[in-house]
Amino acid sequence: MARFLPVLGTFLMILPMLWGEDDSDIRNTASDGIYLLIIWIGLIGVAALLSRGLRAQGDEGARDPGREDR
Amino acid sequence: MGRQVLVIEDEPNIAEAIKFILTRDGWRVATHPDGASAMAAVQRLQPDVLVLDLMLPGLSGLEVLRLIRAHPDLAELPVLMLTAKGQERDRQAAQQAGANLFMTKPFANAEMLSAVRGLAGL
Amino acid sequence: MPFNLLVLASLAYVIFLFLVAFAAERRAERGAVGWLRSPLIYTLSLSVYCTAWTFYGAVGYAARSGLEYMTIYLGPTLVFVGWWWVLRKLVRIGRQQRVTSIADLLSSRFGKSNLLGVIVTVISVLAATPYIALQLQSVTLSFGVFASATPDGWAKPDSDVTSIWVAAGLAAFTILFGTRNLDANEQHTGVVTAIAVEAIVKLVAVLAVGCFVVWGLADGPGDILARVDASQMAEWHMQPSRWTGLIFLSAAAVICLPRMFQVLVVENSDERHLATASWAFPLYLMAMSLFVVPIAVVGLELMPEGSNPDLFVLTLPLSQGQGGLAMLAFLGGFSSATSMVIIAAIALATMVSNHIVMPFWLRMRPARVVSGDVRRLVLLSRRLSIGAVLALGYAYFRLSGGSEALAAIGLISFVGVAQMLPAMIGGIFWRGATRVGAAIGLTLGVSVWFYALFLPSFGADAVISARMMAEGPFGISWLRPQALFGVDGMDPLIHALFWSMVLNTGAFCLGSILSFPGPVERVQGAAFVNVFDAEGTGPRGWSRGQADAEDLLVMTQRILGDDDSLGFFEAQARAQGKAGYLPDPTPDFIDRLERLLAGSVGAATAHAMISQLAGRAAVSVEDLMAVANEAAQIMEYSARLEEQQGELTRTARQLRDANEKLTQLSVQKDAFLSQISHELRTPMTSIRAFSEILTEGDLPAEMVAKYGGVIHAEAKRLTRLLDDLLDLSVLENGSVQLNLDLTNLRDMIDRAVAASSHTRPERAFTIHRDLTSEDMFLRTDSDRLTQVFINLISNARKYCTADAAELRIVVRHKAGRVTVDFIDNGTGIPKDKQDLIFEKFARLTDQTRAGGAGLGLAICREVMANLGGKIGYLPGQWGAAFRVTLPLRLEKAA
Repeated sequence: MARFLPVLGTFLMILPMLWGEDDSDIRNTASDGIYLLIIWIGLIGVAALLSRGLRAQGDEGARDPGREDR
Repeated sequence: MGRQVLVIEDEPNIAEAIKFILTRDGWRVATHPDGASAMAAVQRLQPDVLVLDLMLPGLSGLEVLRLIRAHPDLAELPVLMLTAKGQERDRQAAQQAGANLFMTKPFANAEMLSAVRGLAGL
Repeated sequence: MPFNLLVLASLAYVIFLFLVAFAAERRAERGAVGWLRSPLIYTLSLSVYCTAWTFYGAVGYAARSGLEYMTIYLGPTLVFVGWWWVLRKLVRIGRQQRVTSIADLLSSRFGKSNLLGVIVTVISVLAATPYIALQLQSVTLSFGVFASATPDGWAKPDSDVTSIWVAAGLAAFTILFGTRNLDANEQHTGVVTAIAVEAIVKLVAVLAVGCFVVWGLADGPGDILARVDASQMAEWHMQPSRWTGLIFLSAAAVICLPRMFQVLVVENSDERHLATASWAFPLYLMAMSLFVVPIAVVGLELMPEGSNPDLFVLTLPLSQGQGGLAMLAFLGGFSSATSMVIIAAIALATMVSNHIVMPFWLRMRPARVVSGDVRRLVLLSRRLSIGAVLALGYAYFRLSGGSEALAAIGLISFVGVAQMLPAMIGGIFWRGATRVGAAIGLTLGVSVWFYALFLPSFGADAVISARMMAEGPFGISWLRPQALFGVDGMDPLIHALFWSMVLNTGAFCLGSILSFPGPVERVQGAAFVNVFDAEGTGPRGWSRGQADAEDLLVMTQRILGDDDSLGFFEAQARAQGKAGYLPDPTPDFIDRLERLLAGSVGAATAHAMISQLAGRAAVSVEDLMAVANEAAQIMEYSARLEEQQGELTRTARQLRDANEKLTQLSVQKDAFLSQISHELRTPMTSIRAFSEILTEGDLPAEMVAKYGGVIHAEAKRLTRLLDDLLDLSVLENGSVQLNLDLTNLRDMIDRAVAASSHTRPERAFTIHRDLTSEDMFLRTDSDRLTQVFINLISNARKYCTADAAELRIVVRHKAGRVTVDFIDNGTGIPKDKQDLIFEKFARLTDQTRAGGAGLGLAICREVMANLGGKIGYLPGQWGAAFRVTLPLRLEKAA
């Protein structure tokens, strides 16, 4: 799931490229800005939810042996 | 009284002590210090009671006892086994080999006397 | 606002940072790390990504190119929200291999090759220099803004002085906290804490200015949106190639930037912090960029025509008379610039020192690795490197004149560091990646970047002539810097990014496929790619026993200092079960040591240093097999199973052996107890019987005397027996106290002969000796040795069956060993009994009892063992013969 998040994010982020009127790359700053912010906040929210799983997962192997001799 | 005891014991002092105790009580006491020739001595003296030490040079007391019990004439000879090791195992071995009584060193003189008397049926 | 006040404020701020760093360092030294190493601090330290470019430049970027500035933050967001598993792998590898920098990572991965380290270092320095210049420029500019009355103050006459002071100050701060110690973990708690504080300051500053703009100058978000629509920013050009390209670029940069690698991997103290950072860092980035558009819009609206939009964050509050807010903004910008410079300088200095200075020095004077003080040298080279990095930045700032739009320099720098991405990602996910591929890819990518982006960035005719730009070198049109291979009309940045990455990745893959990795490379490749599986059982590159532990210790002390080195060696010795001694130079130990040293001087240097002591790194066939292919992993697994099974079998056998030994011991103990019982009871029987007889009285006097004598003799026998038993148990326990002195052997034999003459004195007994050969001094316990002699002579007197008993004592001395033979003329001891006689209670014949309990020879054997010698029966003589062997000089109590 987590690996898929950037793919989804990338897709959502380049989506505005496809919106423009025909043959024009002129975009509206205000609406695009709000759209991107919403995506951004959404990504952060999902990441925060997922990070719980990561923390639990990390607990198993987090004590790595590389520094046990310190 | 012709009560004859044979003491087969390699420790001269112990043999001497037993001899003194029994002699005083009116027994005729012979001593023999060796296991190998013990059988011959028994046959020669035909004692009424045999006092037999467990650890003997040449042949152990147990083996001597087995020889005695195997002999038809001597099967009924009352035998008092003496041992200085004092382990339960030795007592059992002695009983199996056919000892009538078993006594651990050191013993009380009175004990020795009553044991020999008992064995002789007195 | 008075300029002096500004200087004072920034000085006070710097001193405050000093104190924070100092306090954190002290706290860390006391071991009270606690919150200093919390996920929050970690996340905040990641904010070195947001430099002055972000702080000031984002607004200018937005004013010029609309929402495109967002790409710089969206890229890292994507990496953090979803691809933390890449980061986690990097962090795990970084910790396991004690990676000190991104150059170290690549050098270590590709066979500890220093060539790669050098390439990466050069790229990093090349890419970071303009960036550092940029930070100096922003600080200088912001000073200028305050100094001038007009809000759009450009370079002031004193800007050179300002910038040199700033550069020197930053160098001092970095040296002070970045190179205080040569820590094996290469972590700088003080610096990181200070960076975290700066992160808060810059966030607060941006948010404060943003809130002021949105709610102070405008009427809230709705009004801002209306103003955006009304402004020149209402519409922006979204170039799809730039939009995606920049997102990719910033995503790559957030991993590859040396300063990001430093805070992300090297300074990471706990992998789990990544979990928090995965959402908190994007949140930080979003907060930083939230007010960029509003500030740009309002700035464009309110500021006079021609104002530099890059400085709106500062000039806008200033122009509105908000001196305090402007000061906060200034400190925010100052924080952004300084935090970047400090971390970048540390990261770059580590690389320069570990990959250029140290290897060079090592090559120049290899002999001094062990004898010289490497520690001081490493620190010195780091300090000089920091100075050099900042000097380079300053020089670039002076040369370039400091007029470019901030964003442009930043992006050029990004493309440069992104060249490391293929080698890095390939290195940690693809076993087949080789040094050759990485080197070619990096070189090619960097060349393209240099030629197509970096050099043209100096402007037309600066380095590359306008004619060459237009027509290509020597008129070769397909080599035009901004239209390589005839790809025309592309955005120059995306053009350079595209070609450099394509050629880089292509060459990397091709080179890796076509070349064969070396042994160390294979081992390292497996260790990196399988970092999560092969924990702790990393393949070993060292063969056993070539290095001397003491040399290694001396070398380690030179690098890590006495305490840390001794601590490490002691811990390792303990782990080997050799507490109190130096550890054995096992491959495992050397491997650990190498990684420890790598934490200080980098993998390649550490490898080279240890190679000098341990000989060439030999990679065993097993190691190669284990990393050759995936099938090898199965073999590894089955080997581990086999090993476990073998261990189980071994344990079972050991248990069985132990059990057997216990049973045997138990049998022996029973027999021994039975023997003791017999030996004790026998004299007791006589004593008891006769004492009872005596107690009863009425015996003739001579009988009393006789029986009293018997009791006395038997009591003595009993005492002797107890003495012997005690003696034997002391000797067997090894707890006997030996009194070593120099004594003449002849005196000892004299004493023994005299003492044993009491045994059967009635017998005629002749002793033959050779007094001259006996005349030598032995260092031994003379009483104990004499005891042995007495025993042997007494035995001869007791048991010798010859009518005219004779004993020969023969002494020989050869090569520090002395033999004393006691040979009598009796019948000797039968062959089958010769081994038995030294056992306890092993009396051969009961008839010739002479009062001993059969412990004599057993005691002799134990005494000789304690004296470092032995006693044995000497077969093949006429009679009984015993040989005593012992050292001429017994050195220490056995």
